[in-house]
Amino acid sequence: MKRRVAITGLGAISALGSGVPALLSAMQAGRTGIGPIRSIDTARLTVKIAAEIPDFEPEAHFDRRQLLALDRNAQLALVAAREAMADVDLTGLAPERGGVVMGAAMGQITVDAGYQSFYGEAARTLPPMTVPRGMPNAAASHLAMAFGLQGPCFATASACASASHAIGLAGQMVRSGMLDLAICGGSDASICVGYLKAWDALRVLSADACRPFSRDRSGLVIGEAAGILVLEEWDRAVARGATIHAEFLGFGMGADAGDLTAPSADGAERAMRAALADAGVAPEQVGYVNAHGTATRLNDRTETQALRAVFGDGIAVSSSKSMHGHCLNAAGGIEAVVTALALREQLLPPTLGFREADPECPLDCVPNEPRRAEISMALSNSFAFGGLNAVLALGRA
Amino acid sequence: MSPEAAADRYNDPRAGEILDIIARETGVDRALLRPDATLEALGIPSLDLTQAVFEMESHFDVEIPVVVSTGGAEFATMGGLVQHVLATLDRKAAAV
Repeated sequence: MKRRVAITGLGAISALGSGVPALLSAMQAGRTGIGPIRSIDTARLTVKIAAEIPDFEPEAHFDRRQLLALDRNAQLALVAAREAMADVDLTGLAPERGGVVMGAAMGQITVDAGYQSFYGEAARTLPPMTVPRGMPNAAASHLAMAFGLQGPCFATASACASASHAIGLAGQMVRSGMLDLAICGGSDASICVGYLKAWDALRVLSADACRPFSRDRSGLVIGEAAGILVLEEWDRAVARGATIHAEFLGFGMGADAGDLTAPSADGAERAMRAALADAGVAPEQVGYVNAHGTATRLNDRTETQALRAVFGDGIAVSSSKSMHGHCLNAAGGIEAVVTALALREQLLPPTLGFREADPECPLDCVPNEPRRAEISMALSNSFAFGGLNAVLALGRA
Repeated sequence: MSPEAAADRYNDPRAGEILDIIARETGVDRALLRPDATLEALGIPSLDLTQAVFEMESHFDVEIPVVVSTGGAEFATMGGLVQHVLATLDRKAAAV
């Protein structure tokens, strides 16, 4: 018999602020965190907006020696995980029954700064922590160390679906009995000149705003964030009197096996159907979908086709990327937190920046204003470069 | 190197700077960084030492090499480490 999986911890840090309460209040207010870039020099960037975390002071969370080993990426992961674990009691949990699965994100800022000093400034050597800070499993390893979890610990690499793959695999491990508890999600400290410049070269970034599903949408806006879930075997959670924010119901994944960057409606549809089948849920039971919704011309049109193929007319779909930006390797993490909050609070987050209906995107995208709604099940979509698709199915607790 | 020679090297003013950096980067009490103290006994992880060496390289603007033939033994004790760094600085001074 399949075990049930409770979501007993939520952690978030994003452009909408530090902590889940800040994220929720932004959802309630329909507030965006996108704005002019402040934390780095934008002189050589074409696109000068992003969704930056306001007022993050690493020294408030870590001492000097800890910071030597922590890229901003791992810092964000730890801050969000501390929040997610604040109400979790590990008493009685054998260390090897707890695991960590995180979306793989390099410590871009560390690597960028190291190579800048070496190539650009002829530095003799690089800081010795460059490799351990830069490695894409660093955040996962730091979380395992911080909470003493000795079970499976690794990072999933599937670009902008990484964190959804991480949560999906963690959910399956708890459900199957391999683990009793897992910390999962993603983090990405993406605001760094070299990395933004590389994204800029793809010509997918918007220069003014993120307007998912709007006819005048102009591209994606990159964000930095960490979004963390704690998944726990249901009976253990109930026995310890845990607050259950939502339930992990299922996970679907697949590959387009088509184009490297252009999305496929068929691939997206297959992943959504796989998630519904894994959860044992019929399409008509789903009340909300947190879209991948990048606000590129191609993604939103293609995702709309897939959504309509699965759900027909009338499903409420929104892109919270219009608020917290596209958080890349952390996207599936912060969006899973948003989806869990939508279920817990019975509140659909809006698609901000929406100005004009697009005949190519005939959807109820919850435009501009949050909406109260009675929903019992929801999906969170992630469709990544490489044609890698991951869809989470969550339920009201 | 004899204990006397190592102690003598400790009197070099540059040794004070080296020990300051080690104490700062490893978090070990400066008074415990005696010439015969081993990194192992002091509980200094190798990465912390690597970070300290990196800071010394920046501080003295010099590359502090690993001596392949000694298998890293030059980093085993505080005395050996100070001696190795001082010898590196002396070579640099002589080359200028």
